[in-house]
Amino acid sequence: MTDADRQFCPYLLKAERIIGLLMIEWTSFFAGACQLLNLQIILLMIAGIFFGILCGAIPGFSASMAVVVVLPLTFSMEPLVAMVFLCSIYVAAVYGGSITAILINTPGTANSAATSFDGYPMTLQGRAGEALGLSIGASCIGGVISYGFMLVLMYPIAAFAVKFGSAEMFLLAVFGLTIIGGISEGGLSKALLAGLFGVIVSTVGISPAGSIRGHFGSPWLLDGLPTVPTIIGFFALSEMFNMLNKDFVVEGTNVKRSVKEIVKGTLKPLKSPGNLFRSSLIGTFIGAVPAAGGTIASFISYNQAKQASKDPDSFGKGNPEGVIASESSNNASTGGALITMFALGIPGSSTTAIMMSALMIQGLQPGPQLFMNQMPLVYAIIIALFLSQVVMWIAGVMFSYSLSGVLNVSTKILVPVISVLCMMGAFAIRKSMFDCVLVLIFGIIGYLMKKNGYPTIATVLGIILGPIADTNLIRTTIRFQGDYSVFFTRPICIGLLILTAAGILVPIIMRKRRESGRAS
Amino acid sequence: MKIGKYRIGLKSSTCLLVPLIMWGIVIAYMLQSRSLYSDNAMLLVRWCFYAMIIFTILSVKGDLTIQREGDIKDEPVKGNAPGGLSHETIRLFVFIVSIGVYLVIMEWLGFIITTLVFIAGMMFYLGVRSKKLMVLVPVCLTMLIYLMFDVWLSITLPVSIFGF
Repeated sequence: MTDADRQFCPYLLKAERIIGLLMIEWTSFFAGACQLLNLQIILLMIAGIFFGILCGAIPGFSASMAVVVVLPLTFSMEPLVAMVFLCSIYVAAVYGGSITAILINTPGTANSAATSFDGYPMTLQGRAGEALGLSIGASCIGGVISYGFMLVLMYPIAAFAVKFGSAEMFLLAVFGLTIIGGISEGGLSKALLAGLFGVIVSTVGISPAGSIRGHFGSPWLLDGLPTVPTIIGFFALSEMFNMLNKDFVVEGTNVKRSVKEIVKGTLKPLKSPGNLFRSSLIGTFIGAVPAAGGTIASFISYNQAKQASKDPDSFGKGNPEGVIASESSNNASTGGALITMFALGIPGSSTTAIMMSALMIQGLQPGPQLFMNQMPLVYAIIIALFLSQVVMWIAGVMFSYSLSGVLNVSTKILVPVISVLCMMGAFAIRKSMFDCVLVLIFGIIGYLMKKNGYPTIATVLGIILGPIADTNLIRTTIRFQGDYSVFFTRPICIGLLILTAAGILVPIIMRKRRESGRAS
Repeated sequence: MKIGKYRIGLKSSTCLLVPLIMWGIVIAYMLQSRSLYSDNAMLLVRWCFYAMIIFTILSVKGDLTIQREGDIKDEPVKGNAPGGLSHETIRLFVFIVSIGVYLVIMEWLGFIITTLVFIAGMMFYLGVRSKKLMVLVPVCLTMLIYLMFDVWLSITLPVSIFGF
């Protein structure tokens, strides 16, 4: 296109800009690919994946902790080697949490909390192999889709993500909370009561405005309610209380472990391309939004999959679509978080903040400058991320097969062992016995809630999304001096309001339709 | 409870326990934060608090059973003999107390000793009688957690007054 064309045809100019954003700089791409032909990189990628899955599977041990533990090892490495190693650990740790979520209802990380909604019921139905396979397949494909976006749409996604201010973040959290409306266990009023309790409890400690709210006299609660001990208490320990009166996790059967079943399961997400793509897209975009992350992404994707399903009532009772939505979304969020980190130099999560510091220690500045000066390095990291999904698939099958042996261990051994692991997982985060006490308290409350038809999922959702909603509502109020018209004037806010309204109304309309269909 | 011709009861004996616990925690929190009640810091909490009142009423209403006196049938008494606790409840209670004791004692006796005793003790209480398992499982798990957390990941686990 000549300069004259550009001058007289603004549409052509616009199209050229869009194509420019999408285009891959092939010279740098191949230069980056060549840099990966290094045995040390491949070996460290494999080591990183195995270490990441192991850390993710330990309750309470997050991806950021896994990355920070190995950070000193990377100081003497080449920048590319170090980043491939850290990225491998990061993506594998996000996946690793799903194994224990599926097998023993104990999400290794908060990202996998939504996976246990349908993963664990599948295990109880004797379909653990299938659920584990689904989780590996969905995680890998979700990862690949998000790295695809990273390769071709890095700047537009990053530019969109940073438009999320406090008002948008508040509405995003509210949108996530609409999942509670779709929970059928125990009835709507019990679900909403449980959710509201979660939101209120999550706001303990210092508010974003600086004032100290109730903290029950404990300095450990000044920073707010820690998420991981509450999840471990509500999901894992309350399940241990239930298991006390069972002989095995899966009652009455000797679970046969089968690699074939797991491998078959890994291919099943491909039969739900719509769910897979939608969840990966949600994961990538929400992952790119600073401070949002994989947990909120997986909850929103789970809710969207439920609303789009022809059989929404089967969600929470062992529907494979639930596992696919949650897992593809939380792994896709890793790509989103890396997009914001590489393209803009903004860490989207604590893990990417640590990885950013690793890059800076290597003398590299993440952000636009990295693209100008180190384009082959960025492409090499993206290609390595694609390769890491292949390694993760193999490692995931191996880990899933090994750990599914837990189903054949008597609960008489399993219950004390898992209880100790839960306590130590909670302890590891802040090295505080107080967090272990929180696990016990929430374990008891969770057990009583389950016994009386109150969905613990609603409380956990409130505890996870409550602080995001609270912080951003206060920020919006202070910033706009109490003028809430901001929620109705900003384009992203309007979009989120429409989605929230749909999230509330669609399940009600669908339920009414089903009921009238049944009646007729 | 009897009001006129109607008898009001609960669906289960524990159904009010959960709202009571929730409200106990929420009221304690609100009382501690009462000086901030009209502040921006309690903006979301205030609305959630009002909504919680409404949904508590609706939840409790759903758990009530209202029967006319003439409609009440003699239903067989579910559960245990009067005054007695079921085996399951006792087991649960012992387990919860054991974890509580385990956490309290760990600060004095450290991770290694308390974990060995807790796992072996709980396994024995739950019915494991194999001596081999009773030794191998606690020792292996304690060693594994200690090596992984303390040695490998540099997360110092609680240490006993004896220094380990």
